[in-house]
Amino acid sequence: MKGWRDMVQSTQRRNAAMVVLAMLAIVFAAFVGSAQAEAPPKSGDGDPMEDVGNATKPYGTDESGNHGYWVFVCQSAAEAGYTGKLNKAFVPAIIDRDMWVPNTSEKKLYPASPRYKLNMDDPALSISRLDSSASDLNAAVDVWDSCDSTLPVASRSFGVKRDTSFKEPLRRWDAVKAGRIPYHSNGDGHPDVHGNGYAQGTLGVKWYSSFKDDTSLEVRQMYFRDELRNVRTKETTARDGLDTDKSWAPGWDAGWIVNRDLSGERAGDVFRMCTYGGTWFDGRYANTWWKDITSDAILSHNEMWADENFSTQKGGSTDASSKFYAEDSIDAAKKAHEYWGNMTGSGTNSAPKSTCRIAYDGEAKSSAGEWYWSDRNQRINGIVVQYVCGEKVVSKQECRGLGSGSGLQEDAGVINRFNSQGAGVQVNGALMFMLDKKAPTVKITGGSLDLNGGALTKKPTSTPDNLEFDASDDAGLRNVSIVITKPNGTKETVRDASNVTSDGLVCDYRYIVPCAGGTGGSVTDDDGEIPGTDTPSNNPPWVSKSRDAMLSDYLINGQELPPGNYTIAVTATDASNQSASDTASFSVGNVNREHDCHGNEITPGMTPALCGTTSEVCTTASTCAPPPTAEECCTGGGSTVPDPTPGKGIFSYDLAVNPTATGSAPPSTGCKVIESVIKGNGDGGGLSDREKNQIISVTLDFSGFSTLGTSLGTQDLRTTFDLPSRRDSRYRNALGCPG
Amino acid sequence: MRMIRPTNRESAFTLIEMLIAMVLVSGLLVIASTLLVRSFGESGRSQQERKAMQSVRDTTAKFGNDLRVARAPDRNPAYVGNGNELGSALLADQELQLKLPGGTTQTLDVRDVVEATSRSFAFRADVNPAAGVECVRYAVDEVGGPFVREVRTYDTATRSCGAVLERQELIQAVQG
Repeated sequence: MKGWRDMVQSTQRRNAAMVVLAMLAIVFAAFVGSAQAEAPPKSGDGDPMEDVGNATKPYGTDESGNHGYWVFVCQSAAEAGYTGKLNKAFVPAIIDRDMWVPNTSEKKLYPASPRYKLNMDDPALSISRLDSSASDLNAAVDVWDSCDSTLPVASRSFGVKRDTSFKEPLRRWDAVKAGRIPYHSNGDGHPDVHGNGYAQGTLGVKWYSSFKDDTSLEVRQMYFRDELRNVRTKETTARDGLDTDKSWAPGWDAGWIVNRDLSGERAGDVFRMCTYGGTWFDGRYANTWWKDITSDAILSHNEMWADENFSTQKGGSTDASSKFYAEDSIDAAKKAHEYWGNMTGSGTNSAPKSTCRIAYDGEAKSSAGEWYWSDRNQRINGIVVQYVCGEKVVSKQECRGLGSGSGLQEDAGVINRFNSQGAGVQVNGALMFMLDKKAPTVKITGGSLDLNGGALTKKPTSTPDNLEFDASDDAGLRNVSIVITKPNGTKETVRDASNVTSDGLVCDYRYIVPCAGGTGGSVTDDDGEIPGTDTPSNNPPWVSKSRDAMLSDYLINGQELPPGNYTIAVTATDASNQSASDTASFSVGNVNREHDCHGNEITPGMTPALCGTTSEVCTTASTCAPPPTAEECCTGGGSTVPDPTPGKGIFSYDLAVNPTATGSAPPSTGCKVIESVIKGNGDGGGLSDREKNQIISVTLDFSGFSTLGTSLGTQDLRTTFDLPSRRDSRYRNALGCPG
Repeated sequence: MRMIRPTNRESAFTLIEMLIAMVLVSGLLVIASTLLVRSFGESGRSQQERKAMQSVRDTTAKFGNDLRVARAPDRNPAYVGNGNELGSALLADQELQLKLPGGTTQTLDVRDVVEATSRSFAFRADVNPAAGVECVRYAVDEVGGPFVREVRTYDTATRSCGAVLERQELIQAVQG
């Protein structure tokens, strides 16, 4: 830390930094422009976080056409119903120095233990006491940890501050000494930093993304918005260790580390870091950017608490143009003797350092750099970083640190101390654009449905057939659909299911693994023509770490389908909207369908014809295999046309009837002509539709008129006509009555 | 002198004879008048019968003429499919789905009889060549009502005769 400050204090360095700032600003503008091309339209202030966060389309492509998807942090956790452990795949968390600095020499120099640190296993207990001698620390600090899902891009914050209402000096002193929670906020009483040493701690936020090493996922862009805040109390009691006098110089720094857990020879505490320039290098610690909020000023006690002189820029108390706090906040802060505000300034931000300190085997690296994100007031709100690395997996991302200031001891024996009573980090939102260069896979694996052209020959009452398939994807499946192409070429979606868990969420990259067992999603059937179950027979069999797979089967009553050839396609769509399909075919033969008592197939929506006085339908395999004849099927058997009934109807009909004729194979024998058919005893009853088509002649008989029939011979009143259409030999052949 | 007596008994009819004659003449007159009356009555009845028979003959001829132009809408030109398809359509009383080269399907209506009851018979016929195929219906719709011939439109949706285009009463007679 001392070295950094020395560098910043160097005029040459600052000038260089300004030049780099300008260059980076240009690059940043270009970057934002390119980001806009990928993301949905942005609002006026160009904040990619807000714009993308409000987007309804969570996926897109980069400039090379690679598919990818946005990952929203915190919001994702809220969507996933986060209430407890942060064991999601990609979550914001607050880290302290100890968690992201490996066991390096620096760590040895400033031993982290005993100390309190974030307990990732149980964030509710965010700080766990490791030092048995400081049992009262938790009583002396306030800890907050929240994730608010009500905000557009949900916020998460974490922080610590000393409980200033805790008035028992000795115990508070113990807390301060032993706490270092993190170092930054509570001072440092460790002997190693006593004397001419300086103390520093890091409170930061981290994202960690865990991806499998063999996936094709790659971080393409990352946006991050946070606020680093300082909590301090207007106290002047030196004996409480809070007297700053001349002995402190707070500062803060922020940086990004991109690292991955490596296997094999790279295993260990070595990070692999990715620069926005597209190169990877190994390192242990990256502090790419920092800002000295006091610069070269060593503020006096009075200056320190003068608020307005606490500048983020050079000059300290002499720089009246760059006030640290907003005017309207000062009074409130003074009244409360406490201030909770941004550690940002209203003036121009300092430039990212051109020579970023990278601890690479003890050597500094200068190739890393970041862009920071500012609002219109030029307050540093966060950092925008873009990684363009050719390699793939980033298994862990750790980001943004808030470093402590340092203190120089003026008087021997006086414990070095900071003014800050606490610090907090509020995460407003973060998102990544993950490149997903691998499409999902889907394969129909079989099932009882006789695929690959096989015909379904089962009886109508047999159990449905099932289609089985496997689908998987690195990032997670967004949806799996099943579409059946019917014989007439029309397509029908019979299942369109998201990978839904029992709590209604899509089990993909956003969800904790393993996902809660789900129902497998909903089923749609456009027109009801494809009979099948409305619910897949089994839930997606989620197993540990299998959020990316979907295995299910779909039941379909194929034997009830209209005859013909069918194609069934299973399409899986992943998080980045890439799709893959697998198809199979089957056919349904024109056999074993339900028939009415006339032997006609009963198709969906068709009302079975009457057979005399009965409407019996063959519904069992025993009566319907082979296809029934009318005699076999109908109660009482016999002709499909009743015998002529006496009556005084004007019209009577001669019918050519072949009971076995179905049209599919006109029988050559069995035709008989039934003459003078009158339905309904002459009271107006009519022939059936089938019978109307079997009429070969019609008799017009006026003898039923009383005044004529009694005196005139029926010879003159009765005339029979052949129907011209029924003289057609093809017509009669079709009816099974050739001739 | 001697007196001579007239012989009247030999030149006149007796009362009995006269009574008998009168009875006979009356009987003959009765018979003659009865025959005459019957003759006159039978003459009027034959005229009604002739009219009725003519109406029947006209109606029958009309019916035959209409029936000669009966046809299903899609049976001219001649159906080119095979008998199986035609039989399936007729027996199921459905439209014929004719498969054409190239995989397309043409829907043909090959049914001509629309209604066939003991009191009505309707069929589709081209009675007006300029207007397509109509629905011709002969019926006694009401007991005791007239026998009528109607030319109607054809309602494809309901497969029944629609609005009346022409109505013609044929026989004014009471059905027993």
